[in-house]
Amino acid sequence: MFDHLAIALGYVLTPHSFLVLFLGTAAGLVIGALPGLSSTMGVALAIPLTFGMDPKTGLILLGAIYCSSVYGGSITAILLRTPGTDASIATTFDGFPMTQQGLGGKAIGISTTASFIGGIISTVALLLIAPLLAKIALKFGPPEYFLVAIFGLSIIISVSSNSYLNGLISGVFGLLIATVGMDSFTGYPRFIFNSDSLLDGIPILPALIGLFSLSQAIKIAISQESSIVKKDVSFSDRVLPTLADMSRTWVTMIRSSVIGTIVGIMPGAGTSIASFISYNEARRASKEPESFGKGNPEGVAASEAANNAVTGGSLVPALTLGIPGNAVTAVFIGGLTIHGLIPGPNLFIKYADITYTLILSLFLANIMFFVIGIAFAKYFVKVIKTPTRILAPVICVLSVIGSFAIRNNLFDVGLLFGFGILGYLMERYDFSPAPIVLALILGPMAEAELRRSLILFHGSFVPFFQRPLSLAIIVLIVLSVLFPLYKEIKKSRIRKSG
Amino acid sequence: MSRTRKFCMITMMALVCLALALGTSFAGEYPSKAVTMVVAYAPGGSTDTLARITAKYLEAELGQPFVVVNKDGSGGDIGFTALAKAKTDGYTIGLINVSPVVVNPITRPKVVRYRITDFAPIANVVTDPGIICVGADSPYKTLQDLIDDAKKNPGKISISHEGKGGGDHLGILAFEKEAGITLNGVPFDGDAPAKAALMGGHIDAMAVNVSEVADMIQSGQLRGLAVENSKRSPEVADLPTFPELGFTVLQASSRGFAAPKDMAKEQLEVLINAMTKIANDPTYLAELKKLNMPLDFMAGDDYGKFLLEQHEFWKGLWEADPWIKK
Repeated sequence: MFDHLAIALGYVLTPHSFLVLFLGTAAGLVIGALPGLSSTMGVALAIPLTFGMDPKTGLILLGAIYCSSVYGGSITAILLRTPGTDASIATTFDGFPMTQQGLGGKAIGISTTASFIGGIISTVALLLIAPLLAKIALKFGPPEYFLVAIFGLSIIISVSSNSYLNGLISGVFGLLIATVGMDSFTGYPRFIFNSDSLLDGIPILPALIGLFSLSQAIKIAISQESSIVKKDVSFSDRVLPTLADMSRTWVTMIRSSVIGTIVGIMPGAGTSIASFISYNEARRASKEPESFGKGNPEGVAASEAANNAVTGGSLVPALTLGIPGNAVTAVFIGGLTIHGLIPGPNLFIKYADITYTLILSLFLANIMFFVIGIAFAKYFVKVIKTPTRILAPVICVLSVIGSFAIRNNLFDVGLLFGFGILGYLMERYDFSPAPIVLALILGPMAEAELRRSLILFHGSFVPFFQRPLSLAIIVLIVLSVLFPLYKEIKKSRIRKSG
Repeated sequence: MSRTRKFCMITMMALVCLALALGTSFAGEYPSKAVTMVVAYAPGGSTDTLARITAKYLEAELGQPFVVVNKDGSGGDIGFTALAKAKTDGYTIGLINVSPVVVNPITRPKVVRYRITDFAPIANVVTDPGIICVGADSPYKTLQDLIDDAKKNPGKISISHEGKGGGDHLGILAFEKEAGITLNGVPFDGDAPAKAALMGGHIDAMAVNVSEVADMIQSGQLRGLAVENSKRSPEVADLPTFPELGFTVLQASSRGFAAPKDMAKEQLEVLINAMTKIANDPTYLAELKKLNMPLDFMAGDDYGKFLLEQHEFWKGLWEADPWIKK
């Protein structure tokens, strides 16, 4: 391995590779920050560019775009509360309050550092223990995926709202609209009103952009303020986290990186689930859980470390088994095969120099976006001083372009406006829109995997409790549902007796 | 990248720009501007890859860029509809996939707004036969092993497919009927999760297309049992075909190019000739081979005949036994 690494190092450390790495990272940042341009689309659009390149150069480009686009979403999530992708929804919870307190620069510093650590830890895992991790990934079958989806849903409801009941209402509403679309088991079209644009269900990205970006634009436009941050807030220019910040958040960053890597190796799970689980764990481990959602840097660190840790994790099954962990790595595999590189055990033996170049370039991509992020954060932060009369229309236009560009379908723009208005009303009445988006992602997964499991088990629920892994997840779910309930009951008892 | 290659690339880019600039001045000649190529599936998938590679060759052949636009979703309906209803000026063509392009209007006549006769066929390029495979450590070494076990345990052996009414599923139905067995068909959303479930031992077998699993069979991660085609596939030449084993199970998915039906004959002729030339270009063939895409070239009317045959075949099946219950 080390001799291959040495060869790969010699290749990566050339001015030419660095230029590609820099361009890929910069492009990824922009793609991640813009609403609607997802990592998947960024990597897919770059693939034709790699046709004329050396496979190693091509992979450096794809790796750089992947890593930095996941990070890029955090910048707008923190500064404007408009996450570019679903990976950064949980980042808005504490990131945007920090911006409103004049700590936008610091929040970006924390998110950059956390993303960097998450990316590096997962890449180390990819480098050292990929075959072992791949074996774990294969242990997950339909019943386990069903339970993972339920676990995700149970967490999201408790995490994203101040009120348990409001979270539940948003989540159930999300599950309800997640039933729209073709039933993939029977082919029956559900609630599509004879519109083929709904046959695949409610598309996630227009819903996400509507609920977060457009609703934010509406809110900014309606408010009387001339800036999204109150005038009397003083700005701190410091971006690099202080030692005190680091000593407060490093445990969270490492824990979240491990969670992100593990979620990343499971085909079908994704960046948003990883960041929500990590956020929840960070809050549970914290001595002051009430401060989450009000600008706690640990919240930003948890979400961002986890979603970037998914990058390395998701490449584990992709490279070792040829099974993509998510949509981005599916495109990645397409990019590999075009160059005649077939994912699987051979990739680490026959094409080891190319594979290790890719892994090494992931390390460098993480370093590169860290440097760029820290260096430019000062300028990113200026965006919040933009007058609202400019900011609102700009977000609005970008939202329309973003939601149209996903499928080149005007119907999605209509959906965007519907969800935009819904998101605005929800926030006014203290409902979080986050559970809707996550239910749209997890609802279909839960439904399909449950039905698949029941077909496999001939209609019996018993095997769910006989498989050790699924039993373990059931215990996790029960705990995660009971824990917040228990705390709420305890709180109300104290209130009563006090 | 070497200096010569860099020079080559710069020259190529300059030529493309030049071609763009010149293109507009030769009005009357087709194509005189960029041609849009609609792909009904997401970027990065095998249809998209085929489109992008072919676009490169069409551009070299006809001197105009062919721009891939992905209109994915609804099992291809969105893209197929966009192609069928596109302007007929010759500047929108696209890829159609058999069986979805044929089956969707049959099974969902109210929702799907195109019919197979709305397309003018250009050329079919790839036909990817179906295959039944099992995990590397499965007890089934041959198709007969699987049949024997299925006879002992009816309905117990699970086999994945990509959704009811898809090619994989119809292949399983035909196999069950001919072998006199019942399997437990489990629909999966896409090949990747099904492969993971097969390798993890969560399901017993998988119905899929050869190109999706050829590499994994070659590297010993999966074991192929039989190919649903009349001739053996070069990617997995050791594997018997169903006809060799005494069955008539034949099932494949095809990808080709088509235009909206009212496009001018002369323009269609230009595209058919260009595709015929490309399909004989050894570098193009080598690229397809690298992607495990078996060439199956049918141009113009031949392709049109094939599409209508497929339409009749699926219509017959659907009317005899509809697989979507209302």
